[in-house]
Amino acid sequence: MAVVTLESISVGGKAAQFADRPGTSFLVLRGDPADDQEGLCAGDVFAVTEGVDVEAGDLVVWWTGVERTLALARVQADLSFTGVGGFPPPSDEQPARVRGVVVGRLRQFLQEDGAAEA
Amino acid sequence: MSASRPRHVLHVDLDAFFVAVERVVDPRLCGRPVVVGGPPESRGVVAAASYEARAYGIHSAMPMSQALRLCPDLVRVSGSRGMYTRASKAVFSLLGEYTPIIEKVSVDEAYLDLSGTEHLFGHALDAADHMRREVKERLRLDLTVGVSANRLVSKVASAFAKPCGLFDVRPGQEPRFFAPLPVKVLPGIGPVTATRLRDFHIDYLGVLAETDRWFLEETFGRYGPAMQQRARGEDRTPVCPPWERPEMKSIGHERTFAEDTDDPRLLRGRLQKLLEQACARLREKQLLARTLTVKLRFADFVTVNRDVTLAQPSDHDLEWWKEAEPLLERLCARRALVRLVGVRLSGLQQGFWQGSLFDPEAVAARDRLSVLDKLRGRYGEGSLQSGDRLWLRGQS
Repeated sequence: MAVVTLESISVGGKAAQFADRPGTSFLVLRGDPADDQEGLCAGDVFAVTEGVDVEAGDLVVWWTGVERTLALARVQADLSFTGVGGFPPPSDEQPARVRGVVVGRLRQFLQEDGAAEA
Repeated sequence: MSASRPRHVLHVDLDAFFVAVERVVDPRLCGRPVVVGGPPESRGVVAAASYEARAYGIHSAMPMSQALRLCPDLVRVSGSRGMYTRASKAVFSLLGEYTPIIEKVSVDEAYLDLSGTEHLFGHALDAADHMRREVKERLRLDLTVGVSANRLVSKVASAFAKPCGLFDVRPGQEPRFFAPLPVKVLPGIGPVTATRLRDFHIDYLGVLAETDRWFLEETFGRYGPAMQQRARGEDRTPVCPPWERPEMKSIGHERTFAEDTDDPRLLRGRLQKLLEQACARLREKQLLARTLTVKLRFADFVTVNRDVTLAQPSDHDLEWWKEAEPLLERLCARRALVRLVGVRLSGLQQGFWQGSLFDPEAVAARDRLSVLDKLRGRYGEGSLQSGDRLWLRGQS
């Protein structure tokens, strides 16, 4: 299983306006995500609004119950959850405690020195 | 969300385009604060600034002398329109390999509709990513892309992804994406409207989206509910490729009276005639209009406009007259002599009237209209007139 994590991050530029309000945040994907339909890449930044109101098709952030570990899952038509990008799906031992819904994904192409890709 | 086929609309924007092209030509400019624009001694202004220059507070339209004061190490290049046009053509030709539905907004900005191309290029996000890499590898230019189900959201998303990024708003999440954003980020909300909204404590799009519709209508007129719809991330404007876009932006006619008048019969008659002429031009050019503006200029030179937008675009005089008459009545409430009356049809799009199988009367009326157009085309515009306006012939 691929090792992936989600971490809180501050984003600069205009995008920062999204997370200026309570209940909104950015999470960055670290590690080596699995190659699946979701097409996640390391470094992808997810714009998340807090809430538990989810619908089929939503990509949600859920707390695994272990320390501050968050994971991504997709809500299926029957409102069950499947893991995406190498995140484990919720289980009986680790039920999905939904923290928020992913509304968008930011992918920036910056060099290590922070400049745009040459 | 609509149950129809999902749309995938991209807003693409070339980062600091003029500067980027100059850097392709002269790589020594990379990493340095660079501006494109005229020399300070001839009162030149900044046409484009690199991100390094922007860090000094330099921006487009700033006097060059001021820019040089802010950053003494600033490198100024005069720029070449021809070179930028060639670079722009190269970029859009490459993007054209992904979809023919491209609406170019400027030399460095466009909307692309990728709906239905999933089998060719995968998800719109992957296509956008591929597109961006291709532009970078083949042309050495940075492309920022916003991806969503409509133009409005993609435009806001691309601003978020700058520089050199990609922001994908998930389908169905448009209202949630917009909710925490300040009202000023919404295209169409300028500083004046933003200030008025703030006066009512409407600071964020989420608040605007939840405000009572009647209140917005009372305060901002017809624009209020439209603004609210946009605040929810709703936008059905299609991406218009060049062949669907009319060359003209509007068709207008106006008439100055020989003597100022407040005769309602004369005003109505003139307006109806002007509308007939404008609609005949629409039909001649196979265009449909969505918005009608009626204009009155009063004897004291105060000019007032009122407009109305139809749900379905039309080129039919009678359909427009139903809308124009009440507008005229509202304008005449000023009770001053009128010097000029005018009409303008805008929101043009290519198309023609579509007959209905279940409305033979409308089809017959349409046939009469085309006969009138043909006769007027052959024998002159004054050859056929509506009986209730014959008396206008003697009026100037």
